[in-house]
Amino acid sequence: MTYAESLIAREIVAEALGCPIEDVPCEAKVGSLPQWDSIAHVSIIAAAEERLGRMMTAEEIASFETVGSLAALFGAAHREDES
Amino acid sequence: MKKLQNIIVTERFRLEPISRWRAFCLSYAWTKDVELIRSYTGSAARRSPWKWYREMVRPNNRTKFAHAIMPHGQEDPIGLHFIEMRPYRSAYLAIAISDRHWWGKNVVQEVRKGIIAHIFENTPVDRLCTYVRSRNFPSIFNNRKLGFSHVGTLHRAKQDPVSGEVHDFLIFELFRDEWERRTWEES
Repeated sequence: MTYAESLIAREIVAEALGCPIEDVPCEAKVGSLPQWDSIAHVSIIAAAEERLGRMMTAEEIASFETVGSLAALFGAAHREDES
Repeated sequence: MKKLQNIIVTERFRLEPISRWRAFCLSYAWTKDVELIRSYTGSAARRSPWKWYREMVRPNNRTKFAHAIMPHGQEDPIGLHFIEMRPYRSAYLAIAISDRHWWGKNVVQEVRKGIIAHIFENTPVDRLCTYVRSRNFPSIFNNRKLGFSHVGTLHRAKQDPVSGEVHDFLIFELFRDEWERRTWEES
């Protein structure tokens, strides 16, 4: 996971939660921040899918445990696009 | 397992054990709500009463239990929670909130916490399991927040005959020791 990928993931989560990006560390687990409820979670996935330009697979959805894992997903998608 | 026939009280709700007939009457209404029934079963197909009766979890108060979720001071349930005991020391959980006014209000978290604590305190169950459609994000969120781990995926496991979509299902598990560690850490 690069810094840029982590920034994208943190930005997406911060926007969905309506909080500053500084309040969203990569280590934050799903539901661990006060504003992170099920509705915000749907917005995060929708925003992530928009960014990816496709629907996330079941494995990708299941692997989304932390903000960092969302960033790793962007990294994997980016590498896939390049190859 | 007799204790699973007790009323469970949480901060906002009374979880009342109900009969098979009542569970059927309450849940059959869901089959007419496309969004709800698709989230709950993965298929929005219309069901006859008999077909739904065959498909639903049928409480017997021995191995299968249904609890109506009643807000304090209210007599109409806003949803149902099902528990199904299976070998080995496992319980399969399912929940649906049918009253839309309660969506997004943390009902699943509160009800599930009450049910899980009650199961682990009163039965020898060691493992809890849930199956969730991979596009049911609120439910996946709730499982994650409660500490369930994703342990497998059923690929292309069900087709919705109405939309034609084929769904994957995620399997989540939570063990007694994980729950105990978590509640100890929280306290």
